[in-house]
Amino acid sequence: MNLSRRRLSLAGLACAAAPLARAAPPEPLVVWYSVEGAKGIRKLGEAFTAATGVPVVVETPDGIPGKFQQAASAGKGPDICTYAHDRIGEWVAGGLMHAVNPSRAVRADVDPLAWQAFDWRGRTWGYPYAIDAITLVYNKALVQRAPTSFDEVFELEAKLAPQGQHAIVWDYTNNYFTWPLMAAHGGYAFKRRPDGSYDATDTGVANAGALVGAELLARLVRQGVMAPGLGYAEMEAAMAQGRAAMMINGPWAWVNLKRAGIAFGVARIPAVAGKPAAPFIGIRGFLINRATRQRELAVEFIEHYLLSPAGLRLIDQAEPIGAPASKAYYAELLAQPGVGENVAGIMASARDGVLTPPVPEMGRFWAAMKSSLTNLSEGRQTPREALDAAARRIKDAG
Amino acid sequence: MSVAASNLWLGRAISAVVGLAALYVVMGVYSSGNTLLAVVLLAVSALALWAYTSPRTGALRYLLPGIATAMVFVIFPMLYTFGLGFTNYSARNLLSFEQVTQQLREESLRQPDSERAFTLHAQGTQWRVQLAATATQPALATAAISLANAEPQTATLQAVEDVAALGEAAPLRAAVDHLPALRALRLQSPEGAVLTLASLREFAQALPLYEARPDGGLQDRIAGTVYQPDAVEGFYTSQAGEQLQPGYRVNVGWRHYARIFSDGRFSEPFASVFVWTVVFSALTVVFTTALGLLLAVLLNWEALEGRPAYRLVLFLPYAVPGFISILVFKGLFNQNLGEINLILSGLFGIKPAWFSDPFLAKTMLLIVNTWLGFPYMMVLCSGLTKSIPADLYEASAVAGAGPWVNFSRITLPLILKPMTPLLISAFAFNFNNFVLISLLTGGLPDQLGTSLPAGTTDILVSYTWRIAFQDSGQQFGLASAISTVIFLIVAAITLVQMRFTRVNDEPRT
Repeated sequence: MNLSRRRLSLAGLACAAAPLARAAPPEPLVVWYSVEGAKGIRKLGEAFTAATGVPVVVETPDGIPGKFQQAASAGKGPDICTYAHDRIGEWVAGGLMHAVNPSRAVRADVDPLAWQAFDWRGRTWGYPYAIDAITLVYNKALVQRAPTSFDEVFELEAKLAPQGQHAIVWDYTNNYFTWPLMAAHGGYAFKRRPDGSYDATDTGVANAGALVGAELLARLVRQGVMAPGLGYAEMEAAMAQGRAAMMINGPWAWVNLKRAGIAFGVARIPAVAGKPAAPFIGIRGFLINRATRQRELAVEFIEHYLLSPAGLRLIDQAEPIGAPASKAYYAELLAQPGVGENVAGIMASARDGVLTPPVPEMGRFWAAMKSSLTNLSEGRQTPREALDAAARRIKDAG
Repeated sequence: MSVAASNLWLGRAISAVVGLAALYVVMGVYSSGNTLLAVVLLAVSALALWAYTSPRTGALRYLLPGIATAMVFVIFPMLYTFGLGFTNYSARNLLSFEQVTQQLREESLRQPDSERAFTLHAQGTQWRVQLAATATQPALATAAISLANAEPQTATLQAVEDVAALGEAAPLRAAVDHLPALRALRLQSPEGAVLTLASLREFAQALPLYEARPDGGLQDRIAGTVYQPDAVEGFYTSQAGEQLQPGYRVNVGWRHYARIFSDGRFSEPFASVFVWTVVFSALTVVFTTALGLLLAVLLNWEALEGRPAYRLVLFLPYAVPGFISILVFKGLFNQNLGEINLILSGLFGIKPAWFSDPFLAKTMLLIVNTWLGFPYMMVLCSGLTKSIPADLYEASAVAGAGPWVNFSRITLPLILKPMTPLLISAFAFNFNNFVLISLLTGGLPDQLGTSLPAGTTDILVSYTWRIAFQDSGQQFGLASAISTVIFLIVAAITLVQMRFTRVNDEPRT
């Protein structure tokens, strides 16, 4: 119906605009990316245009996921969209993306962990380029060696507290940052079925493993390591002013630390009662819009330009991508002084982690856990009560 | 030709041009898929053209801009929302049935390891397509074929004895230039396999995943499962109940409304959210009016020096955009770093938890909303007090009345009547004051023990927003249904209030 509609109106418009008609210039390939990194992609686009004659337009909209859903469902939007894998469940369900068949070379170069994230319902839905995981970020002036367990964190606190400093701080009511503690002993958001899908009725946010993490958080707040009612902004301020020795955060926070002149290191999140903390892993990738009329060109640009070592280098220089999914480029970064150890820190943290389930039910998980963590940290609920409440909400809302 | 006649022709020419322009816009809107909007625009522009060309339309000419704006910006969104409330439009059921059927029919599976790199070789104006030799297979090529248009064509591949005889391979750009023709090209290998374009550099064997059946169903070619369109749920569904993604939009009738009113999980926090919504809006109106009136009366005091300056300063909170001052207040009320708690702890040694204690959070919302709302009421009241005849106060002064009697017997009764409609509209506005709630508290702190997340400071709109957009994917249909319910509630309250205060029946003198 839509097609015939388009033809009808094209016919109408053609009559009106007949004298203006001339050979159509090639339709540009539109890419959505973040503001800073777009500069690198524009340079790649020039090379692509030279080889194919197709111009590349890089757009940097705010709130890519919402806009992509809106545009793609109306048959518009970019040819290539850049986003983390956690939305693909929803977008596959909505019919907004093309499945991809990566070439053998690309298949081999990208880390299997990253491919796992984009495998969904038996198909591959995007080309991964970066691996995201939160890590421990520590101020080298206050901590010589990053603690490997939370017991050491409490020891450090005892040492720092008399000087009015604190050992660790993070935006703990945001479950993204606190979840590594809960997942360490086996807490899980949704149970993964053998076929790779997730069971939205089976949540492990209140199991014995999650409780270990929640009790640790309650203890940290109760013993005054972290103040009640603290948020992301307070965390950044405390780190920048040297009032806190460590934080749990992602690579996006490094820029402000550098600006504040803090010498920092990146390490794995301290272990929780003997088990490594397990952060959520997000994989950023290039997705092809179902509504594109230039699928082959999009594949060409992604496989031979964006994901080539030279391409990744240009993007990374424009805006650091963190830990690259490409093995070749990861090896290249590892060898760079000052960058290598931080990138290795992200990768080490990711190796301990679990992939964020790419299902829309995660919205429920985040919302319920935020409330529970807030209540828990304010002492309105005990860890047990808070987690039980979250589990009930996640299950019942379905 | 007389001046009148040429004016007439000029008028006709202009209206013809305007009419054509309007039709062009409507056409564009229609072809972008917004049928309803196109119809509304068509109706509005036809009405406009008629109103400004026909000699018989009088007052309509002056009312039309208002009516047209109301139609496009108020009535149309309302009807649209109302209509959406009867569909399953959501992140899972986003596309139309036609789009989904087309997508599923185009769905194909590539044969593993069937990819063959290809090159184009010019033969005059025609081209030969060569598949490069692989470790196991020889090089293959087509005869010279035309790649000028996108008509489907099949070419047979033959083994190439001498690759060099094909001539130089064309650069990648040639493939880009002939993309439409290459997409329509099917290559038949000597073994009978059919290859189609897989990328700019490769052909590969691909099979459609589903076969269309005459009864409208789709059959999985590999598993053999048959999927029939399910017009109730909006999915292609197998006998076993397995649904194919993506889903499509269908009409679900009153399902969302039934869910809102019969599902216990919805109604559980609904009552408390509703009560707080009413309390919040009512108290906001009371506080802003009281403060505004007080300041207006004070600023009317003749003996006060520099009144315009005071008035300007007091009006400022209204002039600053709300979302800026709300965020400023959010910082001021911050429990650990906020200036308000710094002062309170310096003076009294207390640090109230403004964001985590339900009562304090509500108090904070009212404080901030009063701050945002009082200047408007103040300006309004000072205008109204100006219109009270001065001789009334002279008479009361002669009778020996004090300021309190002046206020309660003369000022208040005389300005309350004309203000009533404005108070009602202020109430209705705050009933839906989503910006304040979402920017300041986000509905938090949470109500304990409810199964759907609901906050103690959530008002109906922000509660709707939570259910519809934060919980599990975007559920536009459900959100529209709840919005319709809220609209009806607000409309009912407003009607009752208007009847109660008999605003419309008030004889104007």
